[in-house]
Amino acid sequence: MVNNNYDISQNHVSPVRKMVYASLFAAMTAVGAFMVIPLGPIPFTLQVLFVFMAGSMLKARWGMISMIIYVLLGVIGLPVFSGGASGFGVLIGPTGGYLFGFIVAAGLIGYFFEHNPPSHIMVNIIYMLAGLIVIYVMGVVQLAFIARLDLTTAIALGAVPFLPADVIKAIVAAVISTRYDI
Amino acid sequence: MPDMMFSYVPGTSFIHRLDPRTKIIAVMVLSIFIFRSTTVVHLCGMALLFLILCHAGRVGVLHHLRSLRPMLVFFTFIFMVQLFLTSGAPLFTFGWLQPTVEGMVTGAFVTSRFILLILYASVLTSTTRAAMLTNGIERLLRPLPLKGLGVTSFEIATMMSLSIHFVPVLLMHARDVRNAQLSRGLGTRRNFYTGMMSMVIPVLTGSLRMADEIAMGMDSRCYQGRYRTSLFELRMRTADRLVIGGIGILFGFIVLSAL
Repeated sequence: MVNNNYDISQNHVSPVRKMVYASLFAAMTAVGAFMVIPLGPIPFTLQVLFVFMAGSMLKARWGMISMIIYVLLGVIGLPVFSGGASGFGVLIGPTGGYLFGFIVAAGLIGYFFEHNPPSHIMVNIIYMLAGLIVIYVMGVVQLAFIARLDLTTAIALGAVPFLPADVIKAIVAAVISTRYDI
Repeated sequence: MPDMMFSYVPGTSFIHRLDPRTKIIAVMVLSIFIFRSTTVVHLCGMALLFLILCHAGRVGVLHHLRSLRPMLVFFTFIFMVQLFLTSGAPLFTFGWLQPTVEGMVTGAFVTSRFILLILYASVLTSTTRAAMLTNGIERLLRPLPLKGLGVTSFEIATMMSLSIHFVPVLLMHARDVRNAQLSRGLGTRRNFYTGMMSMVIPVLTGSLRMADEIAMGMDSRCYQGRYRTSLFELRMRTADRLVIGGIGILFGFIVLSAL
C-alpha cells in the first residue's frame, strides 16, 4: 500500500511520519544490540550502524530524538542496551558515555547531511567517521572518569577493540544512506 | 526473547503501589548517592537498603542478580585492570603480574558501586509496568522545555510505546528474511560486509514500508501530540509524599556534603 498523499508533495512531511520513523530507528538500534556477530572474544553489535543511519536518514533533529527514545527505552527497563543490559544504572555507569555519544553523534551526522549533503561516497564516510569519533570520545571520557582508569587504559579498553568493526559499519551505513533516502 | 523482554514481576506490594514518578526520582537520587559514597559503611548501608527493598517488593534477590549478567564480563575487566595497574604494596608476585592491595580495594569499591547501580535500577523495573514507567517519564518531562527539540512530552511517550511494539515485529521480520535467504540456498555469510548488507537492506526497506502504513493510520485517525489525556491518571498518595520527603532529605545531605 502506497501513501499517495505524501508522494504528491515531497516538501511536506508530516511530523507523525517523522515520529514513526524516529521510533522505528530507536527500535532498530535496540534490535541491533541483540544482533551479535561473533568475531573473536569481543561481541560486535550492530547498534552503531543504526545510529549512523538514524543521523543520515532522519537528519539532525529527528535523529537525535530517535536516539533519546532509544536511551529512554533502556532507562525504563527494556533490555535494549548492548548485550541486554538495561536501567538507569547503565546510563551513569562506565559504559553510559557511549549512549550519550549516540545521541550527539546522530545529531552531528544529521547536521552535516542537512547543511552539506555529501556529493561523493567518501564525504559520506567521513561524516560517519566523525560521528564515530564523537561516540568514542564521550564513551572513553566517561569510562575513564567513572571507572577511575587513566586515559590510555580507557582507550585500550573502550575504543581500540571495537575500531575495525565500527569502521566497517560506518562504510556500510554510508553505502546504504547514499542509496536510500526517506 | 519475549520472556526476558520485560523484567516486571506482577505484585501488589507497597513498592508496586508507589507512583512511578516517586520511584524514578528515588532511583535517580539513590544512584547519585551511590556515586558519591566514599566509605564502606555507605556502600554496606545501600546494600542493606537494597535487601529491604527486595523484601518489601516481594521480588527475589535472584531475579535482580540476573540483570547483572550482561555487564558481568565488563565489570570483571574493570576490576582486573584496577587490580593489576594500580601502584602500591604488592599482594603477591605472579610472573610480571603484580596485583596490589590498593588496586584490590579500589577495584572492589568501583565495581561494587556499579553492581549496586544496576541492582537499584532493577528494583525499579521489576516493580513497575513498562507502560506506567512511560507514563511517569512523560509526566516528569512535561515541565521541561522540549520546544527547542520540537516535540512534546506526549509525543515522546507515544514514540516510546511505538518503539516497544516495533521491536518484536522487527525481530520477526529479520527472521523471515533470514529464512527466505536460507531456503533459497543462501547459506550463512562468512564475509562481514556482505553478510551485513544482505541482512540490513531487506529489513530496512520492509520496515520503512510498515512505518509508512502506521503513520498513515495515525494521520487518518487525526493523531495530535499537543495534549493527550490518559485513562489511568497518575496520582500521588500519602506514601508517595513520605518517600519523596525522605528522598528529599537524603538529597539535601548529598548537596550539603558536596559543598
